[in-house]
Amino acid sequence: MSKLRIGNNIRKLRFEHHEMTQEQLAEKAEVSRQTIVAIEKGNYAPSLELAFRIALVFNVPLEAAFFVENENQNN
Amino acid sequence: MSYQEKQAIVAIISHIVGSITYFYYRFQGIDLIGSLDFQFWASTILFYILVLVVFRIIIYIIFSILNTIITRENEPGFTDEMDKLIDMRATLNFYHVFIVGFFLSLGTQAFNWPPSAMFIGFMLSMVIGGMVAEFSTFNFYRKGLV
Repeated sequence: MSKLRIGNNIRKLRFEHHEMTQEQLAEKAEVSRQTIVAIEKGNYAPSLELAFRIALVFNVPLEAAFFVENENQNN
Repeated sequence: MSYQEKQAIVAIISHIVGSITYFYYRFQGIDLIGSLDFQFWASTILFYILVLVVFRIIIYIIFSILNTIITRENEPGFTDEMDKLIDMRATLNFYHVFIVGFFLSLGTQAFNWPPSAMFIGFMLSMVIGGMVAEFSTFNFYRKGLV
């Protein structure tokens, strides 16, 4: 089974929410800023719970915050 | 560089310095190959763990104070899911190295090597395994977990 690469729109969502800083998002999602940096860069795929928490901070559905990248290449 | 990355570098340095210092003083004037004193080997391994833990706590306290003074950055007050996952993966890497070293150390006895070779093997497994774990932690924070 090939591994799915998870992309995200966190940078865009932060921009749309009054230029929310990574520190502010980290506080609201109850993780460290380092974790938010890693997720934004695509270096860490968050757990389902954290993904939902981030989506809830921006008040958007999960798929607006996270998506599957290069799905065709991996199949 | 993030606090966690700096902390991982400090852990690597403290592991290397702590191990070298401990073994240097412990093995002074000892015939390593010929020694059949099992009490010596057992206490060497047990004290190594103890010394390393104490040494690391002291180094972490010093690092934390210096880092706060220099960067005005506070230590993260909690560990989140990424920290826990990195810790688990690094510990897993330690186990892999240690298990290989453990069986190689037992293997020395199957080939009639001196008993001290087995104990040296155990200690080397711990030292190398620990270093692999620290390097893994640094690498996971640097490059991510994907």
